[in-house]
Formats: sequence, C-alpha cells, structure tokens
Amino acid sequence: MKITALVDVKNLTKVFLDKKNKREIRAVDGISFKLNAGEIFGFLGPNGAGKTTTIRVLAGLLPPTSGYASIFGQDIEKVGDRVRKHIGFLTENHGNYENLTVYENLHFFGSFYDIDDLDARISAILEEIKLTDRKNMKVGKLSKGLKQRAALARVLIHEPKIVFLDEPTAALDPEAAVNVRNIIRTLKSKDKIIFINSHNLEEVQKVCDRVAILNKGKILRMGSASELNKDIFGSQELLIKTKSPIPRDLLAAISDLDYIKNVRVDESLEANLYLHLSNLECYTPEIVKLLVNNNIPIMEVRPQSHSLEEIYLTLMKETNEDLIISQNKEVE
Amino acid sequence: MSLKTAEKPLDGNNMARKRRISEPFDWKNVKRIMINNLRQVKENKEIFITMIILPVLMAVMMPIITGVMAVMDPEALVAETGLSPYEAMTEYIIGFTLKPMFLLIPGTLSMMLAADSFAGEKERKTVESLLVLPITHRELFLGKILMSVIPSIFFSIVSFFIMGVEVNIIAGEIIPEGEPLFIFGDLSFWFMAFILSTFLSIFNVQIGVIISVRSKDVKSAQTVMGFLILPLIGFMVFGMVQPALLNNALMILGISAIIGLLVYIMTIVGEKAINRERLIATL
Repeated sequence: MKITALVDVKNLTKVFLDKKNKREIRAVDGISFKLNAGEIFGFLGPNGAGKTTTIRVLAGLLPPTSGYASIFGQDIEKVGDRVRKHIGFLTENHGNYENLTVYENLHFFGSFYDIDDLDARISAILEEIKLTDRKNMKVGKLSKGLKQRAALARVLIHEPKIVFLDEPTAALDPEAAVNVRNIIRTLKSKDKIIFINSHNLEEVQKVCDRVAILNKGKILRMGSASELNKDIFGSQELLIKTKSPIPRDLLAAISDLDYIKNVRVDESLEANLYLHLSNLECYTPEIVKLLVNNNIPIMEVRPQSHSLEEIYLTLMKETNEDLIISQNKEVE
Repeated sequence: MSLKTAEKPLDGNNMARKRRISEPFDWKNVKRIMINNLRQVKENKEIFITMIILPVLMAVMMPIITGVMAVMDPEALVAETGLSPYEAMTEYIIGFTLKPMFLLIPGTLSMMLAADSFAGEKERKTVESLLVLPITHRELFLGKILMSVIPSIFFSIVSFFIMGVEVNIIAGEIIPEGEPLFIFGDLSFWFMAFILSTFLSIFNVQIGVIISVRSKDVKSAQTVMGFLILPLIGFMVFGMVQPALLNNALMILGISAIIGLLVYIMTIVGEKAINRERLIATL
C-alpha cells in the first residue's frame, strides 16, 4: 500500500506586494517537504524568515502564489474551509478572549467542531492540560504560562490530526516552557503531526524529530539534528574520556591515522580526547582497541554532536557570506 | 506595513485551483459568531455607553424637550408658523427636528458596532483564532454584519415606539378630534423606522466592516467612519431645511430604494473586499 504523507509541500511560494515601496517580498520561496503522522517537525529561522507565512498557507488562511501543498492528500486550495476541522493552530498570541473564562473560551471555540459531548470533552482536555482548577477563571487573570496552556487546550479541543504551533514557548518562563514542551511530546504519542515554528534553538532541539532551517523564505537545510550535523560539519566527533592523560607519543600516533581528521585534547581536563572521524561507526572500535592495547583506562566513549545552535549559526553565517559575495558580484 | 498578495499568473492550473469545493452554509456558525461578538461589545464600555446614550438622547430627551415646548407655548408656535398647533407640531417639530434626528440612531449605532467587528478582534488579538475555525468566510462575515445590523435595527424600532408614545402623551392634548396621532399616524415615519433605517443600517455596516477589516484597531476604524458619517449629517440637515423630503412617504420609499440598491452593490463589492487574507495582511 502506498503511504501518502499527511502534509506534502512542493515548491511552495508566497509573494506579497509591498505597495508602499513598490516591491515584491518573497516571504516563502520554493520550499518543499513532507510530514508523516507522529512526527514533530521544527521550522527554525530568524524573524521574517517566512515561518508564520508558511503555516498560514498550510492552514488555508493565505493562498500560495505558486507551488503546491496538500493536507490529507487534498490540494489546500481546493479543500475548502471545513478542512480546518482537522487542524489545530496555536497563534503567536494566545488568542483566547481575556474577558471570558477558560471554560467559556473552550465552549465557544469548541462549538464549531462536531464534538458529541462538548462539556465532557472540555473536562477531558482541561484534565490533560492540567487546568481543571482554573476552569472558571477569566483568561485575562491567568499567568502567561497558564494562558498558553489554555490556548493549547483550545487548539486541541477537537483532537486535530495536524497541530501548528507558532512560537509556543515565546515569552514563557523556563518552568512554563517545560510544561508546554511536555504537552507537545504527549501529542506525538497520539500520532499527530506537530509543526513547530520557533527561533528557540534549544526548544527545537529538545522536541523535534526533524528540523528545517529557513532563511529569507528558503529552506537552507532539513533533517534530524544528527543528519544536519553530518551534512554541515562533514566529519563526526567522538569524545573519549580516560582515567589518566594520554601520552604525547600515542596522541601523535592517533593523529597520523588516515581516518582521523582532527585530534583535540581538552586543556582543562587532559583526559578528555575529542576526535574527528570520517566514519564514526566504522572507526570507533579501532580507536578504542588502540587505547586499550596501550593500557589506557577508558571511562566513557560517546559521539559528540554539534548543538543545533552551532549548526544554525554556521548556516546563517554561510548564507550571509553568500549574500555579500553575490551582492559584490552584482556591483562589479 | 500593509502587504497585499501578489497576483499569480492565471494559467490553466491556477484557474482550476480557484474552484474550491462549495460547502453548505451553516446558520449555527453565523449565530455563534454573532452572539460572541455582542458579548465582546457589551464589555467595550465606550460602545456600550453610546448604544445606550444615543437612543436615550434622541428617543427620550428630544421628544420631551420639543413636546413640552409645543404644549407650553402653542400661541408662539402658531404665530411663528401660521399653522394650527397640531399642524405646526406635525410639520415643524416632528418633521424638521425629530425625523432627521431619528436617523442618527441607526446611522451612528451601526457604524459604532461595525467598527468593532474585526478591528476589535485585532485589538483583542483573537482574530487569527477566529480565522482558523472551520467556517466559511461567508459565515464569518455574515455573523459580523448581523451582529452590527440587528442591534441597530432593534434600537431604531424601540426608539420609534418610545418617541411616539412620549410625544403623544406630552402633546396629545393639541391633537384635534378625528386627527391621527403624532408619529404613529404618519406613514412616512413608519417607513423611516422600518424600511429606511434597516437599509441605512445594513449599508453603514457593510462600509463599516470593510473599514474594520482594513484597520489595525477600533479607534482608527472609528476615525475613518467619522468622515463617512458626514454625508448622513448632510442628509439630516437637508431633511431639516426641506421637510418635504422626510415628510413624504413615497419619498422615504424612494430614498430607501436607492440605499437598497447601494446595499446590493456593496454586497457584491464586499464579497471581494473582505476576506481572510486581507485581515491577515493588517495583523
């Protein structure tokens, strides 16, 4: 049986006209990706990268200028407004009415979906989001973290198959952010697609299975954190912690090996050895064997990957350098 | 910065794409949008106070003042107009003053409410939560239009009856036997209260909602609408100096027909002018 991606985006482009300055803005520029059930996908990029525009197009709020996007195998431009019964959309602002209670908000928004017993569903979602005790409080009286949880309750009231979250933890304190991330993780176990827009690298690294790094409307790189690591930094780094410092002649011998690209010893902790290998899986046993044969007691061996922050900053630097070069060429 | 979506080239594919599946219209969605918005308007003190003060001023205070004036010194009225107290009251006080003033109720209320329709949602930062609901844009916009039109028509009709009862109680003594009651005996006033007010309310709301879609907040929407109410005031002044305009039932029907035509044109224009995309462009 052919498995169709629940979200399929091909060469999607969205162009706005800035009437004031008489120019076109390519908010989204030919992006393509596919998402499957049970996947948490992160869209990472600076402000103005096109993250929010992309989810607005996918949610059917903005028509694409060109390209194609489908949800549940149906073209988003043809499916009509009722398709949003299967979509949950958490906007950058919490989006609930502050003068209404949590219950009233859920009742109002929930009434637009075909929910058999709305009151029972409200109770269930409040229990799930741990907001039952604030049910009758006005949203305006809640803390930022609780407001965001109430917003999540609204987004999940109809048990959507696809959940778009636009900066879900922006402006939240660390504890509230952890709570929201935990809720997001529980959604993955329910086979939902979760699409997170964020410029919070730590958040994306912690919760997303795959990440697309977006800048100026284009996807610069896409993949899991380890795939991006390998893609951008080429070789992979291995950390070996030993009980005692490694003799210099042995270090020199390791450096001379063909598959070793770089050797680094942590100066503060002489027993921490960082090796850049062309293939981690292939050569890690050989290195370990070499150290053991030289009577070096090994405490720990683990692959050392670059953080998403390093990946992101490297990519942004590369993009900006490319831009400067192309601008210089245009000037010439 | 106001952004507009660039037109996509109209090739065969795009023409096909524009044909979205037609979805059944659901009145329940319209009702939900309407009730929720009325609830929000109730919380907006500025609008709520205007909704109360304007009809009270126009339908309660003005008839009292004019009615008392006529009853207290009927000779002065006769000397000034050369008509009987009853005729002077009917033509000058009701025709010149109360009728044009009455039009301010649907004219102003509808605009005040329409200003809040979308600009209010933007101010409350709830507009995107509404836009992602599984409702058609026709249901959403009709909900917003009815939310402004229904109270405006309701207050106009209630004001008409209050005005009529008041004037007849205060100045009833100058009605000669066999002559019709003030206001209630005037067919043109009935047409004004039920037909002209209705069309005027709908027309104002249509314009108001378009302005509200394009405004960032209620204040700026109201400022633009302030300018648009000037033609209405001009019409009122014209009605004051040319009472024949508002005292003639056929004339009222004619004016209603013209506004009705404008309502029809605005319905077609509005379908194109108000959509989700335009709303998002101003966020």
